[in-house]
Amino acid sequence: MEHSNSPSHLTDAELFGLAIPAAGVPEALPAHFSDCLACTRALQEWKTAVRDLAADGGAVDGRSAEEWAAAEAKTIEAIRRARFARRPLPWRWGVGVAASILLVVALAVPSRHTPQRARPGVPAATDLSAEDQADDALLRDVAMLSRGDDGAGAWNSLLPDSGASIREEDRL
Amino acid sequence: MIPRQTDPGIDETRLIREVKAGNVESFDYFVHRYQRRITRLAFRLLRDAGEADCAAQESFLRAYQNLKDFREGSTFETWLTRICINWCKDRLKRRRLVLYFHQAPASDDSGAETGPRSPATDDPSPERRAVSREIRERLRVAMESLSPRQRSVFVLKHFEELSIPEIAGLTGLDSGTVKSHLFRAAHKIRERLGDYRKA
Repeated sequence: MEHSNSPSHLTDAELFGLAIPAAGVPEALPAHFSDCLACTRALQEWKTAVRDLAADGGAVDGRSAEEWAAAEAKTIEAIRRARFARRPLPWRWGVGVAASILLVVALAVPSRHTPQRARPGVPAATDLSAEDQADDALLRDVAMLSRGDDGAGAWNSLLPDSGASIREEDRL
Repeated sequence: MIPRQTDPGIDETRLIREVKAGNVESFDYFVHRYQRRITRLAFRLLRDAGEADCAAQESFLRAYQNLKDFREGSTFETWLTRICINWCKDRLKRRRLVLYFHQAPASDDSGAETGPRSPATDDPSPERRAVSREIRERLRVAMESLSPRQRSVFVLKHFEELSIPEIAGLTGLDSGTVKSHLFRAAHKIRERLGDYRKA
């Protein structure tokens, strides 16, 4: 503004300070205003501009009643949606928690009691004859011994029946 | 401007109780009554019509979702206004972050161009209108430099014409802090205007 470029006049910042006092309370005008019509006018322009800016609602103020009604309807719709979205929340949480528990149980239980599945191509134990089953048991015991698994049960199973041997010695 | 009193013919406390009891339709009254005011306030803070609409809708939504926290001693409008101001402050903070990272110039919304033309001007000559428009634009640009809190306090004081205690009540600050923010805001705008003149 040409007014502000003159050194004898108040600057825009000074005019702003008078139009909008920092403390929110109107300040006394400098004596300069009694002599300077240009500054008086400039201050009036600043005050007007501030009022205009405050009153300026832009595109919001130019809305019709229908547009406002549409905006209100949108808000109400959003609130209704939020209401329905909120209501099943505890139920959904419950389902989520239950599903998680089931998943954990489903994963944990089989890992504890994993059934020994027959390898493909190997007949199941029930398909074998009695002799084959005895051989199978013997081979299993040998395999256990070779692994160093010397459990008492395993040794005992390999030992001849002690009662029978005593009876045989007595007979001799 | 934010009204200081609510309609005495409507018992808003009773309506709030109804909403709390599950009658969501009772909340429609508040939307019809306050949507325009809240949108206007949001526009003054954000200077963007789209964001102002978003702010209003979000404010109502938050108010509805947190209605259990509403204390019956205060008015719904004050509470809603506080929610809106907080939302706008968050938005302004985000906008400043975006500007900081993208180094983009302040968005030039259509408000300055499409707004009403100097309703309070004594002399409506084209020259005066142009001067007033220029000042208004410079002031608007200078306000962009304010922090979200300074800006909200400044707008509430000088545009909404609220008192210091009212602003303190709405922003959750004490009166001394509000005055301090007002002073700093005015000082910062003055600095900006000085820079503008030199440029």
